[in-house]
Amino acid sequence: MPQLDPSSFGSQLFWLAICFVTLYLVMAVVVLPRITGTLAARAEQMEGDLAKAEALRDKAETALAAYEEALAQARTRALGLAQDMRAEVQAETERQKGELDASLAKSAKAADARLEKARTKAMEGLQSAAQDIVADVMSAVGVEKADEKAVAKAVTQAFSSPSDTVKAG
Amino acid sequence: MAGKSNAEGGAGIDPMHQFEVHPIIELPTIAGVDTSFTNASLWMVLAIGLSSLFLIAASRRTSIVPGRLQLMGEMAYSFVANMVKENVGTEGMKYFPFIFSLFVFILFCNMLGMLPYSFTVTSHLIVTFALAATVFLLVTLVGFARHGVSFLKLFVPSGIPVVLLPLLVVIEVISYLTRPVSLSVRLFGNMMAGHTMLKIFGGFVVGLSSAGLIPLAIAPFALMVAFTGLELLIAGLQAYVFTILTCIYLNEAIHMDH
Repeated sequence: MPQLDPSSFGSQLFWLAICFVTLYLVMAVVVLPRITGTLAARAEQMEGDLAKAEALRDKAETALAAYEEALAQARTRALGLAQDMRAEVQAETERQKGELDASLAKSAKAADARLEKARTKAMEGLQSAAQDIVADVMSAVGVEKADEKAVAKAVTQAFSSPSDTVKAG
Repeated sequence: MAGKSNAEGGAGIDPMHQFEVHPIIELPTIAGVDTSFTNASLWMVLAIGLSSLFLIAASRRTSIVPGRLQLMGEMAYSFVANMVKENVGTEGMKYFPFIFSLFVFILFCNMLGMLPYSFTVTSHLIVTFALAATVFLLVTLVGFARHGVSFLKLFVPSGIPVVLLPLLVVIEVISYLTRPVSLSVRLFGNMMAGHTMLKIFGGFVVGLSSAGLIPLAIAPFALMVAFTGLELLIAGLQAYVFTILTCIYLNEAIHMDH
C-alpha cells in the first residue's frame, strides 16, 4: 500500500503546505473579497430599488388621495354654485314678473279709465242726439213749440231707466 | 485512477499501482524535508491552479446581473458561506476563507482524481490527515483563544451524575482527540476504496476481453460505468462532509454547546 510508505510523506506534506497556503491566499486576497463585494453591492442595489419603489408607491397613493379630495371639493363647490345660480335666476324671474305685473296692471287701469271716459262721452252724445231726434219727431208730429226742458227731462229719465221708458212709451 | 490504463492488461494489474508516488523532478532535501516534485505534487498544483483560474475568472466580472461563469463562482461562494452561517453563525465568517479554500481544494482534488491516468491527491492518508490536523489545531486554538481554560469544560457534560463523570470525561477527551483521525480516514478511505474498486473492475474488463471473452466483460464494464457515476457523487459528497464537519467542530469551539 503506497499510502503507508513514509518516504513520500515529506514531499507530499511540503507540496501540500505550499499549495494550500497559495490557494488560501488567492481565495482570501483576490477571489472572496471580490465576490463578497459583488453580493453586497447586489443586496444594496436591491434594497435601494425596493425602498425607491416603496417611496414611489407612497407618493402615488398620496397623489391619489389628494386627487380624490380635490375632486370631492370641486364637486361640493359645483353643487353650491349651481344652487346659488338657481336661486339667483329664480329671484330675477320673480322680480321681472313683479315688474311686468305692475306695468300690466297700470296699463289695464289706464285702459279702463279711458274706456269709462269714452263711454260717458258716448252716452252724453247719444243723449243730446236723442233730444234732437225727439224734438224733430215732435215738430214733425205737429207740436209747434215743444217744451225743451220737459223733453230733456224725459230723455234723461229714459236713459237712466230704459225699462220704464219702454213701459211709458 | 480507474483502471482503463495499463496496457500490460490482464490479471497482472495491481489496483494499488495508481496510488504510487514517484518523483517527476528530483529536488534536494531541505532541512530534512524531501522537496521533490512528484506526481502527487503535480496534481495538487493542478488542483489549486485550475480552481484559482476558475474562481478568478468567475469573480472578474462584478456585474449586478451575473453571467454564467460569475453565477457559478457566486453559487460556490454562497454554498460554503451558507454552510458556515448556518452551522457556526456570523462569528464563523472570520474563518470563511479557510473553510472555502478547504472545500475547493478537496473538491478539485477529488474531481481531478476521476480523470483517467490522473492521481488522486486525497487518496493519501498523509494528505487528508494533514488537512484534518490543520482543522483540529485551528479549532482547538480558537476554543482556547475564545474561552481560555474554561474551554476544557467542553469535556465535562452537564447534568450527569458525579459518579459517571470521570468515565465520561475520558470518553469525551478520546472522542475529541480522535476527530482528526476520523475526519482524515473518512475522506482517504472513500477515495481509496472507490478508485481501487474501479481499478479492479477495469482489470476484469481488460482481462476478459484480452482472453477473447468479450460478452463476459459486459457486466463488469456496466458496473464500472455505474460506479464511476457513484464515485463522482462521492467525490462531491466527501468534500461537503469534510467541510461541514469542520464547521460543526468550529461551532463547538466558538459556542461551546453540545
